[in-house]
Amino acid sequence: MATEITNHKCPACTGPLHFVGASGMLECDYCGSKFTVEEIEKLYAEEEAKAAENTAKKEAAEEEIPENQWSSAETKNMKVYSCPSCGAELICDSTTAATSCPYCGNPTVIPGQFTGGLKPDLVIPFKLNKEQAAAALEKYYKGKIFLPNEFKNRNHIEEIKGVYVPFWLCDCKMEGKAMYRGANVRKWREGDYDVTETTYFNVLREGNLDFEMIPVDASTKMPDEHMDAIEPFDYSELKPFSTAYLPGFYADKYDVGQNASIARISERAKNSIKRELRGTVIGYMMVNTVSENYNFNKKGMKYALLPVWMLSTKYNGENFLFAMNGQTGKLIGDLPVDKKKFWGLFAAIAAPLSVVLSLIWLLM
Amino acid sequence: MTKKILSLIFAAVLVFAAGITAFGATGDVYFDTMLIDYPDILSDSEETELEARAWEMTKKYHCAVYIMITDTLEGMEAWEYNELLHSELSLGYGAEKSSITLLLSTGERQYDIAAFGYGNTVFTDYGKDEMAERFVEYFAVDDWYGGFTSYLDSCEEYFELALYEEPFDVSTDNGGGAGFVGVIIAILISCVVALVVCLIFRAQMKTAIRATEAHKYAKKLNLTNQYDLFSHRDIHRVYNPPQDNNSGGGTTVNSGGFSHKSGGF
Repeated sequence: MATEITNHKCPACTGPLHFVGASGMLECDYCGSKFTVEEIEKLYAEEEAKAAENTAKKEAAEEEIPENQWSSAETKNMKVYSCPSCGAELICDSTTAATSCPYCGNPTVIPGQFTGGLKPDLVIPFKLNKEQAAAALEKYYKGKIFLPNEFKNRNHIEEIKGVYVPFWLCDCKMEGKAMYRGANVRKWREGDYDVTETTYFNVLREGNLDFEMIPVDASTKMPDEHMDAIEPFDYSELKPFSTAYLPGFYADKYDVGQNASIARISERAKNSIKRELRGTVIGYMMVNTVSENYNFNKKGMKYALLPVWMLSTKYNGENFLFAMNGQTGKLIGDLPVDKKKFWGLFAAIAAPLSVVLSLIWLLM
Repeated sequence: MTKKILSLIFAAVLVFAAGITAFGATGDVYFDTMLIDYPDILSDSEETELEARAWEMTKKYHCAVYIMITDTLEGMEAWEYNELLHSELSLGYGAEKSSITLLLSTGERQYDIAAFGYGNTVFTDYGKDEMAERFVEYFAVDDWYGGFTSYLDSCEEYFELALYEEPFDVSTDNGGGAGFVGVIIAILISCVVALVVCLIFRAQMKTAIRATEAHKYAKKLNLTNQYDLFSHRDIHRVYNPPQDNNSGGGTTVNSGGFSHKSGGF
């Protein structure tokens, strides 16, 4: 049975509303009306609460699955929604929180995904639009001398979608204690002897380092490398969460819990304090680490939705995924390497350099 | 001074006088005992083989090739001791007294190469440096036979070059195929440079990289405890006598007519 979802419709013409990053408002594609987030929040608060309540009730009633339909294993990670605009049934991943109807194209929000403990604390609204993301990808190709020509020329973006990716933002403190062996070397000459004096020191550094909002993506659907590489986000633009920011974009609820994310956060924090402590050991020509010990203390975690444009292209049957920070425009992604170009450049450098160096050697 | 080196000279004279030489005297070489091993660091067979080889070279190239081994320099510098041996024992080939003598002291762990007469033409400063560099590797690990073999190998190489081409020197050293080796090295260096450049460009193609640090989110490090305590001090001395500047090639001959190369091992 389909679960209830809500469309954010224009109060003036009932057309679908989209959140527009540039204006920071929800805009109607049909009549051009614009509404602030607060206005829409107020208008839809009651409707979303009802939809969430009904969704919970229906989910409880969906225990019995008729034969010849989905098996329990199949339905475990899937949800069925009914589009309030056209009535079509939408089958989504169980973590999907905002999407659009493939039949009528209306953006839809699934409020039940963001209720109670699942409600995000914060959100950074999209600032950059789809066109800017596509243009950024074109720009990203420039200067990549190993990029195959066919990839550049025939390439077209298969899919581009704005996703509010769930992140944990962790406040923590890392304590560290490290012992080092520092050494200084002095050389001088005494008569016919070269004398080398090496002075060794035992060095201790102990301290702590506070971290504020280390982000770690909380969605298994998003590749960690891509999400890490588009950092940092500008936290000064964090806002209290509202579903009014979601229309027009996709959104997922988290499926990686706080505890499961701690390992990645503490590893990053540990590496940072390690480098900081080592950085205070100065005045030595050589430094070796003798022993080290670190303790991670979690102070708090916030659940936030952060804006990411995901772009994907196909080349030689292989998918290439790019991610752009929907706030800062930082774009990352792996590109294919043209082997002919790679070895061509190698030969173009190695061959003349070999001739020049050989001549220098022989003339010396 | 003569009294000081009595031990080695006495041994040499004894050997010489007893005619304990496999080669017999020749009018061109007064002192034809090409190897004296006073501390007895070589086996009899090694001694015989090395001395035979030295004698063959002496005859062939008309320049006496000696190996003198002592256990003490008796307070003298190695070059001083070597020159004294040369005069006291009348070392050398022909009227010119041409010779090349490797003196080695196991006590002080020092050596000296002394060239005289035609030896100064064959064994340039650069040649002696290269020769010493090769045999010192053996002496440093007490491989006496290996070191003296290396010395004789170098002598033979230098004699051949002096006879048929030019004496081994800075300008003529191609490292025994070093020209070819140099070209190979040049190609390898070029390949490494090209590969580094290509890998830098290739790295631009992969930008989705997992974060390993969280510096962007860190506040200031709060150091709660720190110290830097002196532990200990090591002092290491290596004997390294001043070298003649022979980058221009040729042989530096002193007022006595000798050219030297000394060092430790």
